[in-house]
Amino acid sequence: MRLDPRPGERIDRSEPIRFTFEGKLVEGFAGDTIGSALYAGGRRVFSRSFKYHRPRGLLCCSGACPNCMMEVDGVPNVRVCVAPAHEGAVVKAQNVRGSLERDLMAATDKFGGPFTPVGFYYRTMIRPRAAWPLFEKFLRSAAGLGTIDKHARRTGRYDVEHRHADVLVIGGGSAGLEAARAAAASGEHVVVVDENAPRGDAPGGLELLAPATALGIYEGGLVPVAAGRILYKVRAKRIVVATGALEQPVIFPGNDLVGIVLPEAVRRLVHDFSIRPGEKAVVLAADDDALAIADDLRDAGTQVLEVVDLRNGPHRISASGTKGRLNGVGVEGVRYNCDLVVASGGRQPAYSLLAQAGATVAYDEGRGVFVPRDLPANVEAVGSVTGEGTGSIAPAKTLLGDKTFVCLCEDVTEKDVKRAIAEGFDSIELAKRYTTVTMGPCQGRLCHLASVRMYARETKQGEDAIGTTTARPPWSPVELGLLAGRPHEPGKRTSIHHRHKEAGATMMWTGSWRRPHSYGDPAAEARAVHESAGLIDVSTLGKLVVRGPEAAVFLERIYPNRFADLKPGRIRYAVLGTDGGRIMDDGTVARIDDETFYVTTTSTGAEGVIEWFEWWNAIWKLDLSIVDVTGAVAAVNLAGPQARELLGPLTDVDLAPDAFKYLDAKQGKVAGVPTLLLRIGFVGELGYELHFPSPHGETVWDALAATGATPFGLEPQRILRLEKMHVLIGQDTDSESNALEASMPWIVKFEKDEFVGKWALEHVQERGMRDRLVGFEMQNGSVPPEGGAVVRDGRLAGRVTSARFSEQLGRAIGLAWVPEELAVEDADITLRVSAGLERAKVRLRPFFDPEGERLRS
Amino acid sequence: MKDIFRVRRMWRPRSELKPRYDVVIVGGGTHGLATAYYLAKNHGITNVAVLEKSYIGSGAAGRNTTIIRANYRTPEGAEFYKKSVELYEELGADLDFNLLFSQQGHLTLAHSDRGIITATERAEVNQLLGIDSRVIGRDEIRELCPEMDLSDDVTWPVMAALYHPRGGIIRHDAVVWGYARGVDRRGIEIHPYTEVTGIDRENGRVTGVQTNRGPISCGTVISATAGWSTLVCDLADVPLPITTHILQAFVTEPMKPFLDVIIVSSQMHVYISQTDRGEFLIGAEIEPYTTYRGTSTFPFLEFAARHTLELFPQLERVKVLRQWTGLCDVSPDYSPILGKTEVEGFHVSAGWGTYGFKAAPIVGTTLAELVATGDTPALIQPFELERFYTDTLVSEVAAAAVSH
Amino acid sequence: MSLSLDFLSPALGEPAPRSPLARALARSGIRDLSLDYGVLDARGDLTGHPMEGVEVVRLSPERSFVLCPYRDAPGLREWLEGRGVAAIDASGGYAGLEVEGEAVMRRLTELPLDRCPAVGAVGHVATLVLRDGDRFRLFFRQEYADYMGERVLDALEGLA
Ligand SMILES: Cc1cc2nc3c(=O)[nH]c(=O)nc-3n(C[C@H](O)[C@H](O)[C@H](O)COP(=O)(O)OP(=O)(O)OC[C@H]3O[C@@H](n4cnc5c(N)ncnc54)[C@H](O)[C@@H]3O)c2cc1C
Ligand code: FES
Repeated sequence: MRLDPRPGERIDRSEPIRFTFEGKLVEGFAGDTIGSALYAGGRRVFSRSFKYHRPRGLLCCSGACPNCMMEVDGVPNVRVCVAPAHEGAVVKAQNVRGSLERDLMAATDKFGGPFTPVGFYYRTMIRPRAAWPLFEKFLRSAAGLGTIDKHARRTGRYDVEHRHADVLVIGGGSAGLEAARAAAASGEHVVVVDENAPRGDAPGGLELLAPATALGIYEGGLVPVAAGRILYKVRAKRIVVATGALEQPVIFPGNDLVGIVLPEAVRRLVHDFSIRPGEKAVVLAADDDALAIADDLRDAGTQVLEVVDLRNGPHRISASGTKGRLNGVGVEGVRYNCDLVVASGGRQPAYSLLAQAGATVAYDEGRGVFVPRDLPANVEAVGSVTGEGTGSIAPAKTLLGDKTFVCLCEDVTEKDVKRAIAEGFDSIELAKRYTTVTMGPCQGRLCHLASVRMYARETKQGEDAIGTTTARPPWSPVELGLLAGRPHEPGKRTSIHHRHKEAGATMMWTGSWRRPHSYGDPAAEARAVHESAGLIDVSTLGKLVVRGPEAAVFLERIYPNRFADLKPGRIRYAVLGTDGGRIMDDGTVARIDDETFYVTTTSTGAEGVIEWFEWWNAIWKLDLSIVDVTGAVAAVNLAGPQARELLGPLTDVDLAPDAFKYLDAKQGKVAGVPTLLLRIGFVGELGYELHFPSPHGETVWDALAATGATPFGLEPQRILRLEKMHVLIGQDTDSESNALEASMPWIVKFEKDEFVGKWALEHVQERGMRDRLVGFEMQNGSVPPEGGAVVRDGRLAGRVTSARFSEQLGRAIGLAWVPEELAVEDADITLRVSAGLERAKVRLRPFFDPEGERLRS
Repeated sequence: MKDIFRVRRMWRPRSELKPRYDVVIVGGGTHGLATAYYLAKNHGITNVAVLEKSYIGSGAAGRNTTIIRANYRTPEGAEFYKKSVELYEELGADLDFNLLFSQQGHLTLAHSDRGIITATERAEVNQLLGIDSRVIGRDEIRELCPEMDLSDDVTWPVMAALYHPRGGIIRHDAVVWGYARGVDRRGIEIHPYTEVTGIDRENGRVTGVQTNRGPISCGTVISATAGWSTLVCDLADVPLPITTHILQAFVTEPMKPFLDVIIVSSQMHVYISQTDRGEFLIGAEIEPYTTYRGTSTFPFLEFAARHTLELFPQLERVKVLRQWTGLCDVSPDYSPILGKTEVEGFHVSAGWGTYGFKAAPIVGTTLAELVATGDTPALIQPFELERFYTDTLVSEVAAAAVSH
Repeated sequence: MSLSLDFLSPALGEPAPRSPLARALARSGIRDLSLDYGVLDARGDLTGHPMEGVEVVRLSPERSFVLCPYRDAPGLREWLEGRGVAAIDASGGYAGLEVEGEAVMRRLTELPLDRCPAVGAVGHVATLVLRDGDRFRLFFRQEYADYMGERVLDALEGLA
């Protein structure tokens, strides 16, 4: 079947290539596609159709239709007509049970055809209800094209390349290249994208991306271009769309038979791959270019029986075949025995990219095609995409509508379309959804125009009244892997991270940070804090410097608590509320000097708080700056009865209890590093939170660890803070909690003139408390799940937000939201534990060291 | 069976507008059509017009990712959606139209301690209300979905999941068409390509609507316009605490069965299911900016693809076929706004954000009851617009933001 | 003793600071700039203050980054503050590295590389990009150092 060497062929006969198809050896040459090699070897059936499992063969040979999809090297749905052949490739047919020639599922065509009219499944298996899930299983296994290898692993080998250009030309045909050359000549940087592999070098001065597909024209003029395993993201000042026009199939009975092809398939088979496409052919075409294909055929030794110019009015055409393969075609009652029909119903501008970019699409009555109009700014169209030189013939009315295919991807016939209209699906968008025309892998390239024109004909309206359906990107199917790119996800690590790993910590996420859950024994770590001293990395806390003459005014307004009266060198707990009075975040505020405050936030809340601060100050315009120093500062907390003794030798700061009191901030050196020391205690023991420059993280950590302080993770910290009944914002509170009901009324200073959320909290005060966050102690020692229900009369009355067993106390304790009436010391509450009910007593004061003596010691 | 072959019209062609109807429903999505359906079916009220500015189902009804589930976080929400799921289970038979309801089960993944707490909260509330819902560990997840990457060497290892066996997906268009056919057969008129441009009132009471096809007088107007709710309610000077955002989704080429459970990861802002057609249906969370312009974005594709492959590395070579966008009317507490407004006779169904599709049957039932009796059914009292004035919000943020 | 913001300045520490990129870039041959440059986050008008040996990157009319030799940051900060410019020593907050060639930068960022200095996402992380011929200096938050190190090395490798 391979012709003698021809000038301009793409194959290199000196380099044979061998691969397998369904286990059998196939031979081809370098430059072949898998499809051309198979065709040269005599294969004609390339796939089985989606619904009826009808045999299908090469139709466009240019990657536009659904007909040649196969599995290549484990990758499903590869269009083999454009996939380069490579040595050792393993190619398999898909969507068949058996072989391409003998597909068991083809029964759906013989029997299913008449039994499965469009939308049939909406009208079957409704009763009894139990029937549907069984039928659904069958339906599911019948649907779908390729198979996914369940054990496939991710390669992650994809690259992104961002490009900036003056001009991007999409489409490297004659019109595109002409526009590109003109732009390049005037000194512009031009990138050209073309779907076909380049022939020779790119014309001078142009950058050519090929074979590559522009996926869409997105917001901001972004054009993603898929080129194998590289995704180019092109941004150009000017986009020239030269995507040309798409050859349209002719709609007639039997038009899906193997052996009916578009002219482009012949061009490629003959000129690129030197293959004789068939022995005897009939050409049916509606434009001069397509009619000229007869010459190419003769040139390749095919006998051309007849050339029919379809522009001369409607023709009665019908094709026949055996086992799905064409054996003849009848035109106006004359039958031709042939194995090839080259049929073209004209060419439709490939306007999808333009439509997606915002152009409108209008019907061009004279040409019989849809053309783009009103192009968006900075987007131009040249060549046949504008409509120039295109045109289509009206689909002839056929009588034998059963096997007249409008849409090959979805196996939709003319009869289906008529039926949909008769049922009332009389707008094109409704019809598309009902029949699924245009919703398959060809993205409507080969069926959109035909279906619209058929609609117009059947409903006796103009095509312009029918309109088009919305163009939905991407223009060509694109691999998830290419979109995903390299498998990296940004995650934040503190400057002490590696020390935790070296110490064997299990790491966990808090927001976008990685933090140690524990170093192996949470209970022992908690014990160490109570008995001697523990050390925890709290570098993830958000940290801000709020500075300026009006910094105090700002904090006073944004927090419900007071800060104007905070003395330099002192610290105060700070709960931040929304304008709706909800708790947003918490932390501490230390006053550095009159105009400078050092604010900490929760680890997950930092970004939100900064945004919140900046947002309000954009309104208030107070004279101050807000600087995020979260990453610049590392922080560790040294806590426990021995904290003072252990820290003493490392610092020049006087740690004596009366010199450095609870809630004091001091400055000095720790292990030679400039440090801000905050005496606060989330975990309930004497503690120092040390803030110092991040690059010294390991130095300070090492020095503290060397004193014998035990590193502890988040899990022991949670036990410890729970013993103190310290609230974890976001866990013990949710987006609706307010400070009053969260049992923190002392932080709300109603006597202040104004603060964010004041009215809302006043409203809460007025309407009275509904729920309250309280402590509880289990009566039998079992630990309820966090998130567990507080139950009253069989109904949800509240929630457990935190619960742990405290070794220190020898009890299971927790925090829960309960109805206000139950928020009294010793009240009995009922909690759900493993679907059973258990009793607990309400506690309103910290479980451990309620007077805070240890904290202040 | 006979009905398969008989060609029978689903609905009558659009007629002329009458000068007066008892009830005008604005919006031909699932909520508008369902309300019309139950007005006729449950209360015999049929002098009703459904006005739709485009074709039926052209809004979020035909764009959503069709997750139907009841495992919400608040008792009010869970009870409400539970009723809706029950109605959905019977809906195919009720409408005599197969909606392809695929109750394959729904897994909300937890990748952190916080995620497990949220899952537990929901399971507890659900169990108390008799909703099949529980927190399961990795072993059980592996049994339900052996394809998912459950190893520790991914960015966000899966720690547990909330499992809801009755959660499912459905064919959204079938729901629209089934309701529309039911509505039409009961004598209610559906008017596609009819846009409401004004809402007439007198003394705080609705008297009619203005449309691009002329005025209509009526005693009751229901806005079931989802993403357009703020615009339509503006016509009646009813302010809603709603912001409008876009939500995007995409499908891949149809593949042979691979996944038969719905996977949702709030942490990764992605959810994945495989439809009966074999397509993977993948979505994310709303875009943070507010807009009524429905253009699809490329960063969404990249983001969703990245996170899909974290869960299912096998899908690396599966191809995206098309993406689209829909509008979402987001309320502050991620619960709907349902029922009466300060304008007498003007009722709303709004605030549906990313999760309103599953509520269509119960919204229709309760709004129809409201119209017929004049009283707000107990089931939807928690969702009245009034709650924003009385500060009794129903927070579903933790259960609705990405979970749909 | 009254308090100050000295605890933000790594250069005031006696022990040697450690680069956050030290591990990620070990043996990679990529230049680690983290300890070469001090970074000041400055608010106010810098135009009237000519400084030697420093680079000023204006982020907004009000806000600039001042890059100076690592050890000079505390002194420069004092000098600026004396002239009414509020400046915070953010040296500890940033990691920096240098890569060569536009090709690798194109894999990492959509920033227009002919318009540097610029701030934008590089490998999904907000980054300050400075360009000298074919050399690019990237500064980003130090908590992303491991990630960025890995990301840049992987990008350099390309598809090869
Ligand atoms: C991508 C996406 C995924 C989603 N996934 C889910 C999911 O998995 N599960 C779930 O439960 N929910 C989901 N949702 C949400 C759900 O789709 C909506 O909340 C729900 O469909 C809204 O109700 P509806 O069907 O009545 O709305 P719509 O279908 O939007 O109906 C409103 C109708 O009002 C019409 N209209 C507007 N203004 C006027 C006017 N002035 N005059 C006349 N007509 C007018 C519109 O044209 C529209 O047809 C999703 C939404 C989107 C966008
Ligand atoms: S023949 Fe390969 S895509 Fe059409």
